[in-house]
Amino acid sequence: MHQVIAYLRHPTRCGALLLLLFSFSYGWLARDIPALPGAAGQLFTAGTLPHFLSAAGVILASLLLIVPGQRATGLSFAQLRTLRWGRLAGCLALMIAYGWSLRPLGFLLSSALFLSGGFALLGERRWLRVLILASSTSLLFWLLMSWLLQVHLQPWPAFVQVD
Amino acid sequence: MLDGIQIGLATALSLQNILLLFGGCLAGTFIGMLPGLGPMTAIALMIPIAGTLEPASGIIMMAAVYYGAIFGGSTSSILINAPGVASTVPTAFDGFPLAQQGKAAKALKIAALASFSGGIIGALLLLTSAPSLARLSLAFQSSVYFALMLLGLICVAAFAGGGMLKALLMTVVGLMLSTVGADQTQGIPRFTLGQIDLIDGISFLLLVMATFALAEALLSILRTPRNTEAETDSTFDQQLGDMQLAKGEARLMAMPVARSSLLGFIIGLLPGAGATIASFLAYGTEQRLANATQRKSFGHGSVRGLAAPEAANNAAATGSFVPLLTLGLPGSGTTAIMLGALIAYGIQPGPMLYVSEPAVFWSVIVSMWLGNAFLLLLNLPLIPYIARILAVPKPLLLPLILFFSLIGVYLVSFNTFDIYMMVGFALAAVILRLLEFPMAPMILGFILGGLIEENLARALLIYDNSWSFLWERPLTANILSIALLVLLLPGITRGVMRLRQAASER
Repeated sequence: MHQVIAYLRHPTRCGALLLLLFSFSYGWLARDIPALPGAAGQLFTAGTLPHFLSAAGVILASLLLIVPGQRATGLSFAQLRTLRWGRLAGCLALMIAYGWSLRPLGFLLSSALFLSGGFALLGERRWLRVLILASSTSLLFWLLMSWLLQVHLQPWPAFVQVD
Repeated sequence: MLDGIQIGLATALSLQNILLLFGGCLAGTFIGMLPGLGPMTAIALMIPIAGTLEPASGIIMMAAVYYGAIFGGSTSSILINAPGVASTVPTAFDGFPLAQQGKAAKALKIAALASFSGGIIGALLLLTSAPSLARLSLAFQSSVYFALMLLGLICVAAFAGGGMLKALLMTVVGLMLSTVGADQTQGIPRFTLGQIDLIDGISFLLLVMATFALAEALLSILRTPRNTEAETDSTFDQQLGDMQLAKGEARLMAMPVARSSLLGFIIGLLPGAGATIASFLAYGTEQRLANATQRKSFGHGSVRGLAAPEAANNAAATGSFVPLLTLGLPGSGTTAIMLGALIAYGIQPGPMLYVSEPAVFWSVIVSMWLGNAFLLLLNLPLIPYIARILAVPKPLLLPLILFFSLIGVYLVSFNTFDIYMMVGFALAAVILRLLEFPMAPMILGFILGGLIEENLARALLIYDNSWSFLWERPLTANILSIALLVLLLPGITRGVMRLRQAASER
């Protein structure tokens, strides 16, 4: 096990392994692509390119696993621990929450909340600035879309009906 | 031809049309600058306004918006590494490192000058050689397009840097992603995982925003140093730098701009190929032509590396008007929208446009010169203000980038599923970028995937289900041989160098 881990402590090998798994999954799903009736003798069907690509992906990823080449000047595994993973997770959660809240809360409220959350998450502690910037950006963007470009974005929460 | 230019000038130089040119350039620059809103969106957004104008005025305004948005896209590529459109991806390769070195203003000036030159040279070529060039591209069959696209993909993988195998693998991943959704030739759903939202496939805008703008912002968040909590105050002001070009720099970019403009224009003529391949190929070509010292600076703020794709994508944008104006065939998504607008005016572009609507035909050509000149006049003085976007502190700028990226994609589909998909792609891109895998080959693979499949299917149909089209047509065979050579060249070069080294050691 230790040998496997040591072997994979190379960024290219790690990435190649991930993409090898992706290519295998892609090839597995490609088996489900149906053929049109009467396409039996056809050289080219909807599955031709996907099958070729999955084979190419598996071959290239395997080659990279065996011969990863020289390392670029990227981050080492020790350095990876120093990165702000918590902030990244927070941002991802915030983006998912934004997608979820856009319709029920309306554009203005959900955007202002998303922006305020983002500013706060990244260390901005001047709350007045956070509130003013978040609400003015969402309001200005909404005005630009609705009035100038005639793109309708539901501004208010779903339960509030404003004509 | 001179009569035509006179008609074009008379139409384009009316006060109303000059104001429209000015307003179009300004609106295009700002819309194009917002991550997620590229030229296509900008022109689409302008159609309701253009509909209220005379056909010539409407087309002039849309052309100005087009050029403005292309430049705006380059601006966001340079300043925040967020290319709104694929054709400005290579701009970020050297433009963003220049901005990081505190030379943002200079990078924007180089981009503006190269864009201007590319546009002007492109318009001149359009005027002088449109009919014959259109005839040439007409002779190309599906097999040639297939070979050309393959060559483009291999060139990008070969020149991506950081290892050809890695770049090829990422190209294949991009091609794989392009097969998601209903198959273009037969309509069979593929890889939709039972999700109705995936039937139309993955949107280009979504993928590019997720893997570039979102991933860039997330990487920036990830790499924030832990011991600098007082990071709310900006230090970016000093990084704008001087706009002046050094003596040698103007000379250094002259030939690459001329070459790339010509290359961009020719590639822009090919339907589907357009500005993206042009800018990638121009970047790759200049990298190959550069001497060993200059080549090292590519990807780290090279003037040549920034000027070449900028000139090529603007010249290609001009070139894509040739099939539109002379054949009625859109060469790109943007010209497809313009075709729609022309048809809405009751004008059918094609060989007859020249005869039936000379004012429209010539004013489009003249407006390309004027649009590019206005863009330069407008953008050079505005560059210090545009570059001020860097002065916004990171804790405020990064959430704004996330917001504009997410909402830019949401505004196209009004589907929150796209936001979740973006988050997934952005996370994958962050992981792959940390593992030193390049994103640009994946994006090109994704863009060309559908076209490659379509042309391959058509070529096989024409050749009665036989692969013989690969060697029977000399042009196809030649292009494929070049592609093979590009693919094998790094290995051959390495082998020859090892042999030489071994010989010298002996």
